[in-house]
Amino acid sequence: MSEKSNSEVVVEEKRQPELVRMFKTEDYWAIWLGALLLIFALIMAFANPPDPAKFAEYRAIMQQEAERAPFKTIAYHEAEMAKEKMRARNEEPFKTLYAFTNRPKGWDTNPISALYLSESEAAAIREANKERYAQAQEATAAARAAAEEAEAAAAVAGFKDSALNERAKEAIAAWQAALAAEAKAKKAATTQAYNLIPGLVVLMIAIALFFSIGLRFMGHNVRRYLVAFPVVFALAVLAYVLANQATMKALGLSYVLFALVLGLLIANTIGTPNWLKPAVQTEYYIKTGLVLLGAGIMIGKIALIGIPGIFVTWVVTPIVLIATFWFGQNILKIPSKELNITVSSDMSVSGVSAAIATAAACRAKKEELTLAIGMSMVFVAIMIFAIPAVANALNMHHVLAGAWIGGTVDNTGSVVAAGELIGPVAMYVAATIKMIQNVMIGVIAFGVAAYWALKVERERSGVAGQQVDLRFGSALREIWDRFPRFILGFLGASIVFSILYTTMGHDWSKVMIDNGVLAWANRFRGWFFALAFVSIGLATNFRELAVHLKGGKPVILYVCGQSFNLVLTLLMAYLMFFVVFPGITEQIVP
Amino acid sequence: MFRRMSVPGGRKRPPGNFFQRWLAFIIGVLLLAGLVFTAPVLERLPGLGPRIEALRESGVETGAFWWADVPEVSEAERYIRQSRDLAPGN
Repeated sequence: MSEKSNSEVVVEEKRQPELVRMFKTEDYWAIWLGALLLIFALIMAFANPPDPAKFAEYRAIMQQEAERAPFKTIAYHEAEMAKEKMRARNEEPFKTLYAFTNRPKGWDTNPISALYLSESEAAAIREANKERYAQAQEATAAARAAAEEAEAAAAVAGFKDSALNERAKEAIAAWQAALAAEAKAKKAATTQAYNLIPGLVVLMIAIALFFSIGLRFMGHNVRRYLVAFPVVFALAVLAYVLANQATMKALGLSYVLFALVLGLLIANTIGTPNWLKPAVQTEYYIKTGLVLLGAGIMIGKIALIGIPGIFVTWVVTPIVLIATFWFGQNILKIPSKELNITVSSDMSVSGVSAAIATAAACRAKKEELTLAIGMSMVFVAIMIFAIPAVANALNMHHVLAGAWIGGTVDNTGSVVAAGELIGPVAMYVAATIKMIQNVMIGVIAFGVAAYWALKVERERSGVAGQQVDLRFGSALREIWDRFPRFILGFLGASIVFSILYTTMGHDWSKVMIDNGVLAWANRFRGWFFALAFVSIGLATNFRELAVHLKGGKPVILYVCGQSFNLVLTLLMAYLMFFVVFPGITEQIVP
Repeated sequence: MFRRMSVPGGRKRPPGNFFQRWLAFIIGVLLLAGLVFTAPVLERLPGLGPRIEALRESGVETGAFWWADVPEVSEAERYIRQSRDLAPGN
């Protein structure tokens, strides 16, 4: 394995006294800034939370209705919908601040509409969708009347007539579907004019100042950074605009891919200008983004779908990861361990997020992360359509298909999309499995960082042949010396938010954490990753990228690993959901 | 004690003279724009087209890679929790 220069790695290794590190390294500044952002969001959310009395009232109605009838009544649904609308981010001052983190919107043929929509254009959209909305409203009213009638009939029979209960259940489901269609039609029929540019300028200034704090302490020239930053930010905005084109979006091509492509295009044609380089802060952006990502790793969610879910994710995924890494090292003889583990993690765990966390944990080269994500995007675009097509052709049970998709397709958005192509139950199972798998990123990142610190880095520094000091304290000190510190922030955020989530209870956490603190922090995380990937592109040379692709080994690794993953996940999902725990499958599809 | 930033990227100037490099850049921009603007053609392909259209209609954030960025995950979690909590015997 060749030596890596500092400029090439996703995160750099530094040897400084710990106290100095705390104020002079990106690792620690990523933790401080991530924590600052999360604490600020917590204060905003808890300063003016949604009305807890109303929340309790909705919960009481749901409880009461669940006891009254053997199906979800109209009142139950209404209370649930009202409860779902309660979000910390909808309360001031959070609401205003949240609006300033807006990302470019979706567009079809006119990219300008991603950022700006005039009043006349908005009026034209409203007019075009007026009739559809009116029809949807009528359909909802009719479905509601039918649902009320059916429920009343079931109530008269004391909810003891199963035929009447079934009829009411179906009528209520039809009303729910009509409501969903109406909501879509309403969105188009109530389109408002917008101009995101002033908000994006404010956001750009805020992010630039935010990162400047750490850069100042780390001894960078902040003035030069501030001059260069708007261009990197503009490229990140452009990446979002390109990714939000309707077809691109449907194909699962993420903004990180476009951010990479834009950076690569500049770096490998006209070259990255020197004045732009102070804002090319890949490690800093990526580590801060990862600390925020850590806050979304809720340990408690792993048991959501019971033991089958744990087996499909927490048993199959590590087996595939380790087997793929072993295959890459021993059969394909991939020279870079970092590339091998990053591709293995990307493919087996959860795509881009796992690739970023793993690459950062093992200090992979930027080209290696670029390659892993590029391959992942290509395969995702194929798998979104191929896996549902196979599942539908085999007439696969929707729970099995969902578990298969959730365990194998990279990236949550693509998993949901693939599930949607089969049906709602498949989508629900797929999304849940993927969410449980997402939790694993924390463990993988920690494991990879520890393995690299204890074994790989140790071998490289030439101490592998020396007698190993087996004392616990020595081993711990050695790991600590080499351990990337930001991983502690990443894990710390996960632990703190998991505790908060458990303490507050699932329902109230949804209101305050998921739809408050994390919703806001996630917007920033998205921007930080977009900046990071623009930076990676601006720092990556095609020729160096080509070296890693030599012999097509990474592609072979991905294809072989994914094939193994597809077989093992399907087998495990079948065993768990249909042989060992069929009761859970019956609960999911009553 | 202060660590100076290691300057990433662009250490090696891309090959070609000034005009060749700008020509390559313009071609790259045109290719990227061409890809984005001609992508809707895929929707006319038999087999693939209806599926892409279905995903467009569904409004799923297909490109999002983290669970918290996909609203449907919350819906899925609610469904799974309710199927478990409201199951007979619970």
